[in-house]
Amino acid sequence: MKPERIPPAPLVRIRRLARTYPASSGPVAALRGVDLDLAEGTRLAVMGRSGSGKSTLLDVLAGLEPPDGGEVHVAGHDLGHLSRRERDLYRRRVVGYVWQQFEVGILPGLTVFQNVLAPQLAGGRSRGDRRRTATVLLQALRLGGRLEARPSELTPIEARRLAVAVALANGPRLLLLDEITAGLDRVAARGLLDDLDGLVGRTRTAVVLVTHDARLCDHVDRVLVLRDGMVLADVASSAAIP
Amino acid sequence: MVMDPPPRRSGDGPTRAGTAAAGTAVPPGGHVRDRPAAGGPRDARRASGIARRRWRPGPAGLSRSGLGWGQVRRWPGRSLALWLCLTTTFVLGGALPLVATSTSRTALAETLARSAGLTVEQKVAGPDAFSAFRRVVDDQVRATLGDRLAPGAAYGRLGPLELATVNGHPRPARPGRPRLEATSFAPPSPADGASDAAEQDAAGGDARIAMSGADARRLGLQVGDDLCLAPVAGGATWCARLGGLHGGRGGPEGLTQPARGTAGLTMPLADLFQLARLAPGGTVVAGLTYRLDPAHAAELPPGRLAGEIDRLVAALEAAGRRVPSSPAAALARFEAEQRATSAWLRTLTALVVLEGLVASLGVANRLLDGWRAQAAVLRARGWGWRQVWQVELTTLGWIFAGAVAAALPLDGALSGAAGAIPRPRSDGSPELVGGISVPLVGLAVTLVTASALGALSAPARPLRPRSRPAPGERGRLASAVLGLPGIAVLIPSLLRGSGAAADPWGSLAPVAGALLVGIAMAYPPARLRHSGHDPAAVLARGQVRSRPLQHMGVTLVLMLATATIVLAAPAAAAASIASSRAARAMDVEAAGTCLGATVMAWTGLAVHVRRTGERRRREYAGLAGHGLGEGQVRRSLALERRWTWWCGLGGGSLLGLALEASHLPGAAMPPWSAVGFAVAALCVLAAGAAGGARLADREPARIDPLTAGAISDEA
Repeated sequence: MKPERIPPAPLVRIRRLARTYPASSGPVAALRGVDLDLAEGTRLAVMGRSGSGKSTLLDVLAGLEPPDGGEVHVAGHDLGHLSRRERDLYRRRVVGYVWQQFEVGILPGLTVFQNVLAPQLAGGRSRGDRRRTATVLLQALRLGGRLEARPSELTPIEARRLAVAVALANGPRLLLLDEITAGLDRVAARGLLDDLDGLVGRTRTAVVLVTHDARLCDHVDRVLVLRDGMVLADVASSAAIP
Repeated sequence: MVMDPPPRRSGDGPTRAGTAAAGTAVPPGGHVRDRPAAGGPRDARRASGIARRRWRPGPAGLSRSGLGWGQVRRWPGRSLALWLCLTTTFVLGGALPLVATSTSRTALAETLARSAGLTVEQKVAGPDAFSAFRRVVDDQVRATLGDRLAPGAAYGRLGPLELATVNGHPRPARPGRPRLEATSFAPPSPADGASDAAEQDAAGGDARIAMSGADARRLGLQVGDDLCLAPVAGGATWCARLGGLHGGRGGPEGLTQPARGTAGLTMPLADLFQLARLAPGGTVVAGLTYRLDPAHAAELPPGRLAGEIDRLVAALEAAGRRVPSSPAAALARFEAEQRATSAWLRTLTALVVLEGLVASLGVANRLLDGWRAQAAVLRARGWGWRQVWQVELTTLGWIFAGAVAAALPLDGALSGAAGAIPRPRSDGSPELVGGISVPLVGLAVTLVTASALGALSAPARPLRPRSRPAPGERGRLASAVLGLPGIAVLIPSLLRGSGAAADPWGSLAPVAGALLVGIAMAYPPARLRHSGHDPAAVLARGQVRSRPLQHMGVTLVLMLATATIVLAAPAAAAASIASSRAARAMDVEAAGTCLGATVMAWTGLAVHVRRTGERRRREYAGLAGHGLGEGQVRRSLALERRWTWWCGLGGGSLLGLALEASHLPGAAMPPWSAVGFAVAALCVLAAGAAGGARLADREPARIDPLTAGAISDEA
C-alpha cells in the first residue's frame, strides 16, 4: 500500500489576522480576521480599494507591524511572538520588501551596486559572495551597465528595478511588492514583471504583489481581494483576469 | 505566468552573471552557488575564473566602516561642525588646566623666591658642637620634608665686638660708631667644614677678615689694615688683617645681614671660635638655612607643605632651637590666594567643556539624523541595532580621531607656550595628558551612549522622502539629556584641582544651568501665556509647548556661553593691570575663552534662527491658504526666538554673576568695575547675536503653499 503523502506546510499561514491602529476618534481596524495560505513559489496579487488593508497586510508579513490578533506564521516564524533579534533575522533572511514609494528603500548616497550590497552587510556572507550576488541581480534586472550610477541618475523604471534588486539581495523566501508598477505604462510594467519572474521563477520564492491593475493578474497564480480589512475573495488568477 | 528569461542586452559580456542572465533565470542572493553552471564542472571553473578576473577591478564595494566614512563625506558641513566642536573642546579642555597649573607653579616659584626660607639657630661652644648641631638638624629636616627643603648656608655669628686698634693705633669708642658682628660661613658639607677648620688651625696666625665696602668706609678702613677686635663685654683682643671687601651683602645668600647699626665681618670658622674663646661666656650662635626647592615643593599642595613645615618648626623649637624665619606663613597665604583663582579657573573649564559637550551632542545628533533615515531602511531589511550603531560609531570615530589629531598638536603648542613662562619644570606633558583626557573621555562616553540610544530607537520603517527621521519625543529627549553620563565623568575630574578643596559653586554650575533651562522650558514667558487669540502668539505658544527640544539645545549653549562670558570678561579686562607674568598669561587665556564663547553663542543663535525660520515657513505654508499672513508668521517667529534668547541670556547672566560673586576673579579691580566689564561683554554678545540673527534669517518674499512640509515628521 502506497503511503499517504503529507502535504508540505505552506510558506505563509495566516489565521484571523487583526491589526488595529489607535486614532483620536477611536481605534481603526485595518485588518479584521484575514485568513491566507501561501505555498512556496506562489504568486499572489492583493487587490482592493484604498484603505482596505493591503499595505497593512504587507507590513505585517514584512515583520514591520506586529499582529494584534490571530496567527501569522511565515517560514516557521510566528510573527506574533518574535523577539527583537528574531525579528531582525526574519527580516534579513525570510522577507524582501519593495515599498509603495519604492525610492525610500534606496539609499541615495550609495551607487547602484552598493545599494544591493548594503542589505547584505548585516549577514555573515563573504565579500566575494556579496559582490557576486549583487552583480547577478543587477545583470538580471538590466542594470549591469549602471553599477556605478547614483540612484538620482536612474530613470523611474531603472529605479524600480534597483528597488527589486535590493529587496532580493538577501535571497528572501517571500517577496512583497507594494504597487511596484504604479505610474508605469503597461509595456514597462510587463517588462519589469517578466524580469522578476525570471529571477524568482526557479527559487520558489513566493511573491505578494499589491496592485490596482487587474490586467497584471496574468503574472500571478491567485488574487486576494480585500475590503474593509476582510477577505472579499481569494480566487485563481484566471478568474480575475478581465 | 510568464517565465521567459530576460533578453540579453548587447554589451553584457560573457561574465558568469551575464551568462546566467541571458541563458537561464538567475536566482537571487546566494543561490548562484547552488545552481550548476551549464556545461559541467570544467566550464564552471572556466566561467568562475573569467568572472574573478572581471570582478577584481569591478565597482566600488561597501563595508560598514565604509558606510561610516560615507556619512562623513555625505554631510561635510555637519561633519566639519562636529569636528570643530570637538577640537575646540579638546583644545580648551586641555589648555585651561595647563595654564592653571603653569600659573600656579610660576606663582609658587615667585612666592618661594620672595620668602626667607627656613633658618635654625643654636648656641654652640666649638667646632665639634657646630658640626653636631648641623648634622642633627639636617637629619631632622630630611626626615620630615625629604628633598623639598634644600640645605643652604651654615653660619656662625659672634658679637657685638668693637675695634680696639687699627694698624697698631688705638681706636677709642665714639658714640654713633657702629659695633661689629663677626660671621663665618661654613661650606655646605659638615665634613668639609671640619677639615676647613682644621686647616685653618694648622696654618695658625695671619688671620684675614673681610667686610662690605660700605662698612669699611663708615669705619675708615682700607684693605690691608691690621685690625684688633675685642668683645664689647670685655676680654682679650684678637687681631687680623682686612683681606678684602665685598659687595655689601653678608654671606653667600645674604641671609645673615647684621643688625641695624652694626657692621659685619666675615672670617673663617676656626677664627670665629678662636675669637669666641677670648670673650667671657664664649659661645657662637650657629645657624643653618634651608630653601624650598620649587621643583620638589610643587609635588605637595602648598597648604599641606606649610603644615609640614610648621610641624618641623615645632619639633625644632621643642628641642631648644630658635627658628627666626620660616616659609610656612608665605605658603599659607599663597594657598589662600590660589584657592580662589584655581576654583574660578576650574569652574570656567567645566563650563567650557560642558558647552562643548552640549554643542557636540547637538551637532552629532544632527549628523546622525542623516544616517538614521538610511538606517531605517536597513533596519527594515534586517539590520540589527548593533549594526546601525557600528556605522554610527565609525562615523563619529572618524571625526573624533580627526579632532584628537588636530587638538594634540595645538595643545602641545600651547604647552610649549606655557613652558616659555619661567617655571621650575618646563615639561607640561602630564598636565596636557590630564587636561585633554577629561574632555576626551567625557565626550567619548557621551557620544557613544547617545549613538547607542539613537540606534536603539531608530525606526525600522522607511521614511517618506525628504523628511527627517522621527525617533519620537522620548528618543530625542533621551539624546538631549545624554549629557548626563558625560557630565558624570567630567565634573568630578574637572573640579578636582591640584589638591585644592572641591569647589561647591563650580559643582553647582552645571546643575544650576540645567535647572534654569528646565524652568525656562516649563514656564514660557508671560507674553506668550497671556497673548489671547492673537494667531502669531498662539502659533508661537504651540511650538514652544509641543516642541521644547527644538529650543533646548540652543538655550543651553547660549546660557553656558553667557555664563562663561560674564565669568571671564572681568579677568580678560584685568590682563593689562596684572601684576605678574603668570597672572597676565591667565588673563589672556580668559580673554581667549571669552572670545570663543562669544563666537559660539553667535554661531549657535544664527544656526537656530536659520533653522527655525526655514522650518516654520515650511510648516505654516499650508496655512497661507487659510489667511495666515507673512507678517503673522514673522511675528510668531520673533516671539519664539525672543523667548529662547531671554532664557539663554537671562539665565546665563544670573549664573555667571552668581559664580563671579562667589569667586571674585576680578579681585585685581573694584567689584563694580568687574560687573561693568561683564555687562559690557553681555551687550557685545547681545548686539552681535542680533546682527547675526538678522543676517541668518533669510525671509522669502512670500510663503509658498507648495513647499508645505509634513509637520508631524519634524520633532
